[in-house]
Amino acid sequence: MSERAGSLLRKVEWGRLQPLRVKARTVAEGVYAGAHRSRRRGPGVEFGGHRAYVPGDDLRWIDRHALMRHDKLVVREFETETDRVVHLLVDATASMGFAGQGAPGDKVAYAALIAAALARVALASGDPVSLDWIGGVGVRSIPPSSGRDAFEHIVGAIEAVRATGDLVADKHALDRALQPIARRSRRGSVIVLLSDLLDLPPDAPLQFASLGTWGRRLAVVQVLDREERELPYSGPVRLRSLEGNVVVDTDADGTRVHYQDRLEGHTRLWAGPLAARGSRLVRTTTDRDPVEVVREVLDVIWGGGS
Amino acid sequence: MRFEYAAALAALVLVVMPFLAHLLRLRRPRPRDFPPASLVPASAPVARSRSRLEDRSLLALRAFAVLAAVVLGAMPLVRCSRLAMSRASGASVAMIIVIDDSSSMHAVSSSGPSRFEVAARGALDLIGGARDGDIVGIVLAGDPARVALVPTADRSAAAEVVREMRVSDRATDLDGALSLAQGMLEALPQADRRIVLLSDLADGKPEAAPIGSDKATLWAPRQGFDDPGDNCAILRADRTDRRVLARVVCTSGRAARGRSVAATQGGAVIVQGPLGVLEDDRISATEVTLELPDSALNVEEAQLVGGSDIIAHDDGAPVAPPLRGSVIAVVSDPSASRVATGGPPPVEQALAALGAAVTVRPLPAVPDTVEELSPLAGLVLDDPPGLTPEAREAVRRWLEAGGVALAALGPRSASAPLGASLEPFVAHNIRWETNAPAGVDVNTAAVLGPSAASLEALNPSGRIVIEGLAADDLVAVRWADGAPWLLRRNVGHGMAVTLTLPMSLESSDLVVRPAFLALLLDLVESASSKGGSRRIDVGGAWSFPSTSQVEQARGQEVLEQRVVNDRKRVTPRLAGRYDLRVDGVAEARFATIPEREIDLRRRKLVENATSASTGSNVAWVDLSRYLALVLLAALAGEMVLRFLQAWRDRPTASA
Repeated sequence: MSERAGSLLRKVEWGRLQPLRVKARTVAEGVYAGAHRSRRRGPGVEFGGHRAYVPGDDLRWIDRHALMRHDKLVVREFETETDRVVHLLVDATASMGFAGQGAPGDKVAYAALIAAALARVALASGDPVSLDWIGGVGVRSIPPSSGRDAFEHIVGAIEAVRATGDLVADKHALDRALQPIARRSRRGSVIVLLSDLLDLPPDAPLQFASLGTWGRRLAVVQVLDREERELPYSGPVRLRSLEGNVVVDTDADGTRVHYQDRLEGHTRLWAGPLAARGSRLVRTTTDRDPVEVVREVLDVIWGGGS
Repeated sequence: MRFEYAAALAALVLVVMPFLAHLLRLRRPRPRDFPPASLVPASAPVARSRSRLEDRSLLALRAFAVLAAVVLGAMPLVRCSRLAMSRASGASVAMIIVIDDSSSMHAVSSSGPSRFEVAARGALDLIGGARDGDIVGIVLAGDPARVALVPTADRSAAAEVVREMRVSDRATDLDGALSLAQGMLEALPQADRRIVLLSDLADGKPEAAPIGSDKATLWAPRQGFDDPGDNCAILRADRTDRRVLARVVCTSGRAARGRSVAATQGGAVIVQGPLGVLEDDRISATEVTLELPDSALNVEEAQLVGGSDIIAHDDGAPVAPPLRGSVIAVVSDPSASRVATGGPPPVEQALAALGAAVTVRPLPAVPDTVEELSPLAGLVLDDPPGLTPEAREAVRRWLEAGGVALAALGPRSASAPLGASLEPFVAHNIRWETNAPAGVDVNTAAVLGPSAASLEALNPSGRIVIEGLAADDLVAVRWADGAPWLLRRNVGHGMAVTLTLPMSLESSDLVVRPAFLALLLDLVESASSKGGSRRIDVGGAWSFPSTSQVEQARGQEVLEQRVVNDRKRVTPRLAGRYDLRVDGVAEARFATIPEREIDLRRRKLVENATSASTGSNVAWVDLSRYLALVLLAALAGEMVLRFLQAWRDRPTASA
């Protein structure tokens, strides 16, 4: 963490998003009602059908009878009810501590609410949930866990976080955050990144998309403030980024359209790699109804992307 | 320029405040947190540059407004050339402005305007410089002195009166004007009383006592009035048969040098004659006689040609046709009224002594026809033995036409033969009594002026007693015992005057007393004003019965008509010819500049009348009101600039 980024250490501005527990439950209930079991094809006890053999398949599941009758290599599949781990990765760098005028809370608070709601939904379905952070102070990673106390642990970890950190200065912060997830995540697990995507390294989209192998599902939620989306200022302004020590003097009225084009281009850098992995980017601002956002995320996760 | 509160100028340092505010505004804006700042393109601060241009206009405007406000607070005074009174304290002032509207005020000063224009402008300056609570009155010093505006606090009314004022051809009556002004001031409560005399002081009495006032502070500014110069004027021009007799008065021989008098008709010079050589450095009068050719007997005007003087207005005069006005007929029996040294009767000698304006014509008897009387301006009857019926009728008709007659009744009148009477002078019986009282009641003899006192010791051997007075008889002077000494009666346009004493030395010593000359002078002047003579000096008036219809020819100077004491008085303002129609009868009348008005020598003033402590021609004028307007304009200008700025920014804001 750079010295300047450390000076930007700030408590989460929850605003109208508090209390987190209640809000997260409310959001989750608005999204999902009732238990849910994740299904995964593969080793199991209930026959799930045939499919063509592909190199690497376990030779034990080659159906010999079908080979002799049809002279084709097919493997038998079995279905099993299994736990699908949901890995939540929340950006808690300094830029996520920004809250514009009239925003219900800062971005990290909003991302935390979405994360907590997703955790609630996943835990209610019996899926383990893990929590990891990019940047932040007071962060506490939660390993994949399920059960009655998991939600409380996750919410407790979220409430303790303070947004700080400079991804521009600390170029390996993303690597450090992704490595444990890559290690822990198994086939079929879900990885959800909640970030403003603003100060991540240029290769971050590819780096994150690389996790989408081996049956892992990916989802990226871009959380921005309304001011960041619209640049609503007027006249000459001096703008200072919270990471990277960038200060820009500009005429807001004259550069608004150009800025919005740039922001759109920056966001599209993430859309391509995600689409290649069957996923897509969920874009939101902090004044949007979190229920809609969570639904959209679940749609990406369970619905197979765009 | 100076400032009443110069210390307030210290606030001028506030002029830098708009600059400081401007610098603060132009400072870089405080950085604003914006995480995606790296995505925001930096731009040249176009808006700021634009606002900076606009700011400069506003900046200059505000700095100017502050400057104006500070100077306004310091109360700036500028020095300018205008008449202003000095004030010793803040108390209100009662000020009577005496404006000379006499003929000499036509003189053009070296700076261009006439003396009267200088006086009027000075009066407006003084009125404009008056403060709330000050009282202003206006007196005109043209003869006779008149009140143009009674004292008032309404300065706008006073200014209006001055603006309406016009110069005249009157003589100058400074003493009368000052007397009027003092009288007006006496009734006012202000302790600070001023008389401002705006005059060239040329009242024809340069040797008289200095003008001053012991009841008020007199100030007579001199700038614009003392420019030297000479003048020649044609006072009158009369035609007699084939001659034009022009009377010319010059202030000095220099003014007359190289000049001549021309008689003109339709603008063309008919005949011309030199003025002759006059004495330098003293006022001189001369009569120029012009012989008219047979082809042009009806010349209209006499004009001075060649050379110039400071009053061009009086360089011409209308030529009057032969007039009857100058003839006074006298009917006096030389055997009954004579002097030991011989010569004509005393009354003829006295009339002759009145001056060249009067021609005395002795008559053996009262004419029996009005035609004989019509050339006469006046008629004097000394102890007439009654009037025959024919004579009575002729005299009555002549009086009604405007004649003035004086009948000095004596023992012969009291013993008039049968059939003769004294109408229209007296309607009742008269008798001669020898026990006349000594002297007359001087208090009733005001019409005779100061010389009335000489009648106090009048020693008559007898007097006429009139047994009863008619309703229209006016007793002008009474004997010491109250009996009528002098009676007046208006008859038509004219007047009949009856004296209850004959004019012979045997009857009384009246004819050797000054009051006798005053009585005859009053007769001559009455004859002149009533139409016996149709020529008067400007300042006088033609008198008609109040029922007379007096109409004026169009295009001429409008005459002032007023009814005073049941007489209609028609007063000309300027010299010249006036074509009137009196009760349907057309006649020409002439007004003349009084001869003494040609004398431009100045009357002396008391010592402190021109002191700078009473006033000056240089005034400090308060600029505050103008600065206040400038300040308002600056604020309005800022509003306009802001409106333009908002209008220009409107499309950007909507985008």
